[in-house]
Amino acid sequence: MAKVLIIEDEKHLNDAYQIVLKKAGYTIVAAYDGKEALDVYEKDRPDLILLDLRMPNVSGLTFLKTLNSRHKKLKAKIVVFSNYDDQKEIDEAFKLGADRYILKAWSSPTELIKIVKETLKTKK
Amino acid sequence: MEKSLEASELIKKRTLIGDIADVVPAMIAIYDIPSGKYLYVNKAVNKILGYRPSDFTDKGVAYVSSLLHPDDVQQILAKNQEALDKANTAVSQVGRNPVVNFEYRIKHKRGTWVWLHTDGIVYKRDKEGKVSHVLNVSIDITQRKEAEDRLRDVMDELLAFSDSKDEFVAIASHQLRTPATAVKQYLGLLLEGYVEPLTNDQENFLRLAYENNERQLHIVDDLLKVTQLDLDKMKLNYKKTDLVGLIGESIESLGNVFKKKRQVVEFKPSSKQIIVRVDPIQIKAVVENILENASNYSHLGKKIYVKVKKVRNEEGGICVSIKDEGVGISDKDFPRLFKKFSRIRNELSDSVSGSGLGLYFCLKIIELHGGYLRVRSAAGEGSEFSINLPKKLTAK
Repeated sequence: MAKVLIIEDEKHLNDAYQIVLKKAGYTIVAAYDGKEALDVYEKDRPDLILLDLRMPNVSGLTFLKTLNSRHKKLKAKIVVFSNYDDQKEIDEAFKLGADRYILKAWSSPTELIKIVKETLKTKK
Repeated sequence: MEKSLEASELIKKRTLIGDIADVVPAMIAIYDIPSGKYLYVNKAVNKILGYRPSDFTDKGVAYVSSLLHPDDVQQILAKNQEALDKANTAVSQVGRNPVVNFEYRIKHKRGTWVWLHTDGIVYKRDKEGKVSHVLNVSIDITQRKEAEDRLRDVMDELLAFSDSKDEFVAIASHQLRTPATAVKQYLGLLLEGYVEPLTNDQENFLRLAYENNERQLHIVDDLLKVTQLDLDKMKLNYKKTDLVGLIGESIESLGNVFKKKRQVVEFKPSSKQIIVRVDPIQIKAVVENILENASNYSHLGKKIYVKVKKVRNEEGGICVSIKDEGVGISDKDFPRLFKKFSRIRNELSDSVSGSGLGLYFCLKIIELHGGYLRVRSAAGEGSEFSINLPKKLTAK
């Protein structure tokens, strides 16, 4: 079963997403900030990354930039999410290799699983 | 005898007029254009600018021009020349005798700046009909200018404050989404069967909690939309849109809402397609908002009539009308209808969840498109909302 890396600085949300995706059968690794996430990525090489854009210290966009500078071709699918509909941020994320954007507040557990499933199926 | 009587009358008249001219709190000056000399300057020049009349009459117009504020002198001289040229070349009576006004700063004898308002008129013309003498009447408007500056400062402060209030609301709204999202996830886990089977009561209570949390999230969405509008951050994405199709989609997307209340929507467009340049996402939101209101404020089984047509008078444009057989809006509630956070109380309002921002949002969006919203309603007689889009949006 695919491995999903959840990068979210709000612990309660991160835990909730972990429960949701574990129940759906995915292997989960989690990080609570961008810096930690870079180490986890190298160690665990997930198939899909759920990435929160607004994080303190290392933001979602900075994480993506660093990832791109280290890896010529990113195999992992990337779903970015946030609670801010900042179009500039979203556009930048897609430029940096994001495959999908969702607004956290509008995605129920079932919807989240659906999106993860769909994104894993798409070609990079 | 008669001659001396006439002469003495003349002298009295002249003295009277001279006295009046010297007491008037406005500077009166007459100058000769070819020579640049002052024919006459009244005593008010002393009260207003601290100079003696002889300071002006001895030194002439060039000296006075040197007293003008460096930031104002160019446009004053330019405007003056323009007026003179017009007075010399115009054919109509009005064109030949314009009253030109100027507002500028001039140096007081003691060195400070005084704001003056000057009206200039043609006083005399030479044999060729060209303007030879100009009369200027000037009053001190320094106090008025200072008051205007203070007012402008207060306005700027108020606008900045209003902006910072909107930014605060935007930040708070975004932050409110975080705990509400967590609630959504955990309630969702329970309701969507990811934990363990629920009893009826458990499911019902959890569902109520979930729905109310969704309500919170909708209110936050509304707040964010409105702060975007108020901060003028709302950018419309104009696209060629089929308005008939858009309205049809809006009605369809609210299908469940109408079904629940056994309400029927009758849509009669005047043609199969009406192409307009609008922001389709925002206009759809407006149409859906008004349709939802029509449903919410009508009882079960009532009908809603939707029409769209090209307006065939001088004004032109498109009119979308949404009419319901609902509870209507009473006279006393009309003034608050489009205001932020106003929820009108009527027999159905308790069962409607809303932030009170919907109609405010609709009004702003339509106005941003250059159109307007109209309402016709009376208590107990239903309501008709009409969205009017301007002619320019129908142009190819």
